[in-house]
Amino acid sequence: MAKISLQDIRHSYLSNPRLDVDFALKHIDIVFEDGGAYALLGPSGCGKTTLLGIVSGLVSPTSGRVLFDEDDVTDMDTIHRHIAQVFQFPVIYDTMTVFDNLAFPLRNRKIPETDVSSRVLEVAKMLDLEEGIHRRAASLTVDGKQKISLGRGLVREDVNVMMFDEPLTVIDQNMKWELRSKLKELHQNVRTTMIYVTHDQTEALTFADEVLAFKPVRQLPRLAFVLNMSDSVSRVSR
Amino acid sequence: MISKSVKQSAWFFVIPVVFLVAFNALIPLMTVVNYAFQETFGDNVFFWEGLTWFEQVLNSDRFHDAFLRQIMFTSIILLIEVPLGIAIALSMPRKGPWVSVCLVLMALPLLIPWNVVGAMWNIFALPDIGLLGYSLNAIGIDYNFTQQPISAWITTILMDVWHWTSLVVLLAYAGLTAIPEAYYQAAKIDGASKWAVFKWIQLPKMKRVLTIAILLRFMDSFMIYTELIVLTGGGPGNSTTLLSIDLVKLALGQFDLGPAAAMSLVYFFVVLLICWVFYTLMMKNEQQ
Amino acid sequence: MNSNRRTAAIPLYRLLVPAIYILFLMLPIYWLLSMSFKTTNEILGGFSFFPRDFTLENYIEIFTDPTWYRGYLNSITYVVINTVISVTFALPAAYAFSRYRFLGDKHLFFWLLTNRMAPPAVFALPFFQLYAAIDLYDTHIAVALAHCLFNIPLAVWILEGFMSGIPKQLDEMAYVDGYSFPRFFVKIFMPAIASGIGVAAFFCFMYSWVEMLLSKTLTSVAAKSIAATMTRTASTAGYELGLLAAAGALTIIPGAIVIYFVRNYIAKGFSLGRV
Repeated sequence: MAKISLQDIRHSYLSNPRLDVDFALKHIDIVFEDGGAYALLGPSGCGKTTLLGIVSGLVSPTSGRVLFDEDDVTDMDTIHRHIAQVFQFPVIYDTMTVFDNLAFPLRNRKIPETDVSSRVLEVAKMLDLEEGIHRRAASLTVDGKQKISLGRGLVREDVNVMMFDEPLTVIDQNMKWELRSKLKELHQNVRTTMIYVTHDQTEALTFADEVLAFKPVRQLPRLAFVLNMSDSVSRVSR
Repeated sequence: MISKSVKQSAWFFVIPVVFLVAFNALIPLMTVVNYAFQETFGDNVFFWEGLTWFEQVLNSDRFHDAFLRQIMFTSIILLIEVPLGIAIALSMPRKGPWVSVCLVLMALPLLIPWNVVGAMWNIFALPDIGLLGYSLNAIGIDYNFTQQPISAWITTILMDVWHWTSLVVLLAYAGLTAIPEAYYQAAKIDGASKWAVFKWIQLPKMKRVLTIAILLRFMDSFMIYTELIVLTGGGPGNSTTLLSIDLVKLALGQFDLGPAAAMSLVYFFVVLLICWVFYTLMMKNEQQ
Repeated sequence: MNSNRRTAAIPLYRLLVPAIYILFLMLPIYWLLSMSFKTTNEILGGFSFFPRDFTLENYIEIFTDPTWYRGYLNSITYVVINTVISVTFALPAAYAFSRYRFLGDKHLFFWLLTNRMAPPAVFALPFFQLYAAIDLYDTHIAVALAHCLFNIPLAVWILEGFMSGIPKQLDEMAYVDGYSFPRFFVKIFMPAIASGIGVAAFFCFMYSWVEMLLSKTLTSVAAKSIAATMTRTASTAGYELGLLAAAGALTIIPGAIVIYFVRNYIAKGFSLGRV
């Protein structure tokens, strides 16, 4: 677990950004405190997913620094940052069983099989996945699959931050409520730093201790939104 | 999948296709069946022969040899083309200007008439004036595909790999580009190695297109005729006489219509059977 | 700041494997082209990597001799007829398979596909008899119809895949808006699966263009295909490798043009077919 600081982050998907409009993100300065539950709220295309990518290391920022606690991780690989992420669509390994799916991140890190087994069963219990744990993961419903993606983050004990990128988009309306309270409950139990991206206000407000609202400053000809933290992100604290 | 409603009148949409395909498939098939079970001396007079021709064909060494050669050929090219095709698809860039260039150049062999493919490889492999044949002999390899069965086989297999690997590449590539980026990102986060990504993400996601690729390659290699007849003519001797070539030799060369027809039916049946078994296995695997 | 860290530029080694493969693909084609620019004397005289006496004679002969260039025209004619017939007939059938369930639909679909598995060598002779019997022997239409045997199943297969990707709401909405079925099909549905139609047409064109056994069996003079022209000329006029190479080189051009136009759809078309 760690405190995460983004310092003066700018990012552009172009190779030679010149103008302000070339940047998908400009001048981001945020600190995510250790153990906090944060929500990033804003319309699609405003740079929320890019921001997650920068924290996870899947995107490297054009300029600026990313700190986990006091360590500069800007140039560090995803795997060494010890982060977990749940995507918009459930990402599962179709041909594995539920158990193997959950064990995958641990086995990749060469953790002894006895520890793997106990840890997986613990997380499966937490997520109500115990039933049919040896079935093929592909046979589960969408919300079951999304729980697996979540579980793959929870099994690891070294996770600095868990990130959610609109994780309930494809979930059934009545399952949404259940999963959302499950998430809230999980956060209270594990106290990992969590960042939750959504465009749904209710989701953001029920999940997070703190909501960061992204507002598009102005619409640009290329239909890209530019985010300027200094004047367009308001913090809603509870 | 979209849910479908029951509507019997949908048959009207299908009738033209059924009619046209049936015209092309059933009438010739009936002709073949006619010849397979009967003896004729012309003038549309037929004598019932029963299963005589089938017994003759199924017991003949000639058919056994051609069949074995066919199985060997098809197995070898599948074992080369499928892994090679996957490997090339994996190493291709996902986007950028090179993709189009690669795809266009790779698809080129697929659109060359089959007799030209045979002629091209014949010219290419000629031991005295062909680029391949001359070069091999120049570096001291004794190579002559018109005289040595081994050389003929190598040339035939090279030709088929040249001709058809691109089909596997295109299919595998289509399967690969359809994998959402999130899978690779999740694998990165889970700390998966390159091999694990291939085994647990890329291969399962390519399964459907690879099934199509293997089926198409199986069918087409089992029916190979034109390229081969132009390249080797089935020779030297009978060394590259695969099923289709043997069949045509029997039907047109010797005008043994009865055995040829019986062989045609056995041949068609074998293709259908193998496709069906393969298809059923794949589907069963899917359901588990 | 160090900009462009770990940018998405493709590492060169990733192009190495495709590059070697493409080189392997191009070698026999280069050799064919090189032969086509050589004189018969040079070819028979021994090995030469580049044509020494560069000549266009082989090509000139093909373009001035009607028996040669008619072969190309005949082939293109039946290929186009076949593509039009295959796609036109396959469209409504694929629609039925993608939208409705009806008596025997699955068996019918499988039966259609089995015809893709029929070895042409099996059918060559019966086809000859059939088309001779109905007086279509040696016509373009005969070859075009015969190629329907494997092209219609293929077109139905590809189109069905594309149509299944179009939500049924589109059909329902059109009816609510008062479209008649034919008008809906032509004005709304067909544009929606335009790329599918393109891909199906591409494959029909491809298989009809490359298939040579049936086309050779079903034509003799009037509709003589380029395959027949190539073999017969080779046997009557002696073994003229240069001429043969030039004729072969020219058959690559129509395919190359077609590929260029559909390059962005090829990969997609394969992936959307249903097994």
